[in-house]
Amino acid sequence: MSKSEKKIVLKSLDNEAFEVEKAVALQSQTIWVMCEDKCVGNEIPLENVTGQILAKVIDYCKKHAVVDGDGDESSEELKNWDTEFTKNMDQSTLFNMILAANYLNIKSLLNLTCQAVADKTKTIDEFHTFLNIENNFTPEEEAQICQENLWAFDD
Amino acid sequence: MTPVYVPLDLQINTLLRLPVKSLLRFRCVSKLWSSIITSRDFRNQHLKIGASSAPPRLLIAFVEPYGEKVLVVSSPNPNAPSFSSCSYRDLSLVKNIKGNMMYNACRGLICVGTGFKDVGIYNHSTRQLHTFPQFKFKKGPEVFPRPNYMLGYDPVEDQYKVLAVDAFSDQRLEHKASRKYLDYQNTIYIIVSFDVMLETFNIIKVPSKVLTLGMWFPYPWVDTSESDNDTDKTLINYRGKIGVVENPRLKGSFRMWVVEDAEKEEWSMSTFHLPESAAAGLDFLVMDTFSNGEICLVPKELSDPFCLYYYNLEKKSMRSVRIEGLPVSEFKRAERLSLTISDHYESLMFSET
Repeated sequence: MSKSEKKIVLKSLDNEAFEVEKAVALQSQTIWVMCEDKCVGNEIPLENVTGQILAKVIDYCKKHAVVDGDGDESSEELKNWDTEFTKNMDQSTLFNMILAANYLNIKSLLNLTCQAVADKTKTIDEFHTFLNIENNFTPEEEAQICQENLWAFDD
Repeated sequence: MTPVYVPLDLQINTLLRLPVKSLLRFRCVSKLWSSIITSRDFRNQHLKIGASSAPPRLLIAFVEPYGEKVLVVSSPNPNAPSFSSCSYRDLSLVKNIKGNMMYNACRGLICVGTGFKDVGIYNHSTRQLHTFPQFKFKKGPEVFPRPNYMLGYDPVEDQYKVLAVDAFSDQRLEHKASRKYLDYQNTIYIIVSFDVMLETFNIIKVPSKVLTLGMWFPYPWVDTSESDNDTDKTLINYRGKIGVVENPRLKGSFRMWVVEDAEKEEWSMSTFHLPESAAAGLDFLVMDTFSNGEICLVPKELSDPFCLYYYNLEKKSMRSVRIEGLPVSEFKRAERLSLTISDHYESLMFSET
């Protein structure tokens, strides 16, 4: 296999191009299927992902492509790396990562980012704001739910 | 910050990773979220993800039957092999419930005796106690001992079931290992297992080489004179098989029998030795097997701070875990005390209203 065949170019929504090893990109089931079906050339347009997010996704895939299959010790290291990876992302980035992981179908990244949001989001209002969910409870209904599980509201 | 449009299935995927306490709070986010969180599907999925992504929590229940007190502690998991000591002071998870018996735990639910002979299911994660309506036994339960109960789960029908066994005074029941208990009727020793799905009993004869199964004494922590019997044994779940383990005594060695083939009545036996340094002079009781293959031992003499020992049956090694902040001294004074320790998962069961 020549060198060019091992590389693949991923193009983001905002036309940023990333050249990556094929093994790195193929962790995405979506890309894997595209390549398998030969429906794309060496350049894959990813219309749902911005360059900023795609760069992070590629970081993740690079790390996981290297370490996977290296035995137990590295799995501990990988876990620490994952924690560091999501530690400084704000919720907005994390939600975009979730969407990207879902679109690209990278299950481990999806689980990781969903877990990170779950760990970071503490208040009801945060969910209202980040996800644009409308609180459709009447004050009475809301008070009743609070009352049922009062202990869950004190920290 | 601009809101992100996240489809509902991905919102649910995130919710599934939240602890029960947060979920109870996040029911207030919207009507849709509330109905998702309280649905049966979500509940089962949540338990499944909780059980597969993180190691189980540790459940410790102190029961003081005469004081009508059950203290349930759900602690973060000290099972990680690297974990040797934890300073655990978060007593917000400690809950006193009115009751005087703890039977068993199953999928995050705890079967407790309430009042004189009634039974209830307690969910520590949602702090809800559901007491069953009184029911009549065919022959009417003897005054003492009270009936024995056991909670089981049928994964096919997704049903929880409680088995009630009227215990007569000449029978002793052991219900540590889920779904199995001992029957000490006369002098024939048998193990009776109950299939939660089919609701059938199965009897396994205990060969004489397993000796007598020993006396099962419900409150070994305080009244040592009656339980001073060096053949006392505990039923455990050993890699899905029935195991009978001797309680390691002062000499530091103990045997384990495992039912290899119930139909052919094939049993295997192995002998283990506790490492001398770790177990010097301690008299242990076997509590349970943990999902990682270790058995949990507790010294008969309760220590303060509370100390647990884990013996690894494969590596034949032992480690200890200190759990600080438990009101051990309070229970040491109790006239009678029983203690249950097992793996524990968070459950959203009966959070709906």
